[in-house]
Amino acid sequence: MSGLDFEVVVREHQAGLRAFIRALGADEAWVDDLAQEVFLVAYRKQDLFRSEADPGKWLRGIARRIVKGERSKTARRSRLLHAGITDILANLGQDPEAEDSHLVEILPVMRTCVEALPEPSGNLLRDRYLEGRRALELALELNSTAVAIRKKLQRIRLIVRQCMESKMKEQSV
Amino acid sequence: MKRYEELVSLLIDGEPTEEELHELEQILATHPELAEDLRQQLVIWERWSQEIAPERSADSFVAAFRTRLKAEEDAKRFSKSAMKRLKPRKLPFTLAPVLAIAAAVALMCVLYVLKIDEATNPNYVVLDAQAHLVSIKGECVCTSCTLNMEGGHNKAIRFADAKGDVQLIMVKRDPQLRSHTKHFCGGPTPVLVEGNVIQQDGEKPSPPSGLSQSRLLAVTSIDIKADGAENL
Repeated sequence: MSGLDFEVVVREHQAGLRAFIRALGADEAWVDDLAQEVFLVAYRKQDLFRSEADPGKWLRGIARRIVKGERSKTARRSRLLHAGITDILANLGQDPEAEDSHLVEILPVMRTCVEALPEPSGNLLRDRYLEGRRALELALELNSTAVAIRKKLQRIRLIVRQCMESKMKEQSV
Repeated sequence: MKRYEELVSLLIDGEPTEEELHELEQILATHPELAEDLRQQLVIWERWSQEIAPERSADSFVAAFRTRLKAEEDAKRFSKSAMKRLKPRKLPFTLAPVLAIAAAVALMCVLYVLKIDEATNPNYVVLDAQAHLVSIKGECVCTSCTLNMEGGHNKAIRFADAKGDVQLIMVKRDPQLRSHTKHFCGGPTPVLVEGNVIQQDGEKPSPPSGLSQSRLLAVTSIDIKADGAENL
């Protein structure tokens, strides 16, 4: 990575890398922390990076190693959701080359689909993600139950995904 | 598959038990298509979280990385120079590195206490010299939402010093503070915070105007509107 502005590399790859780390089963509260750790390792070892190689691929390799290291920690100290689930997710066949471009594509479509939601659903989704509040916290605030909030969010997620799939199909046609 | 959906909903929005996580693991192990579905859901909603949460924006992430990198480099440099100074004294055994770090930490504490003691009002900032703890009565603010500064969304505490001048101290990023984002972004909100001040050498390359980033507050407890302290 020598010769490149490291901050530019961070800016270009942070979104994809964080999504990649989450997809390996990292706890949502620790995704950014793990991603920063990946960039710190990359920064320290940037002299080892070959300029013709893909920085995204290199960063994902470091992320895999760091997440693997989390496996050996006790559940209480681990930044993963569950070690066994991480093993399964990490072994899924993926096309790492397509990761970043795929993310760029989905965001505008997702925005359109979320904006099309009726107001209460849109508000609930915003409350969930604006401050990272989980079902129990939202239930207390909305005078509901955690189960009811989870079910609502589950339905909203399904609607958004179906909308995204149909819009992606339209685009490809 | 209804049970899979319930378990994924728990995983994403709730707090699943160890048994429920194990149950989900078993389902994923035997249904690779569901594992792929989970992976996609995690990616999509992670991306959405980055899009919507101000403290997870690209600017905030880059700013936090810059701070962490600088803190790490400063700590290394400080430890190295302290080791160099201690070396001629030929400390016995393998305790030398440990003592060097302890000496560095003690020196930083003393320097900080001397500096703060001169400039602050005991009504607002209380120092515990031994633990290097500060207690600040002030307001939660967001550098972007509340103060309209450039440089992304950063949590900060605004307080008045002995002369009545307004001071700002940046809050160190901590996932456990995320539930308090509304008090910062929707602020100013009265607060009583306790924490350790992390002193860094020099300034960040491009701090938001008027805000010193050479000091960060690592919050250990936060009492919003002083209605009961909450330990982190």
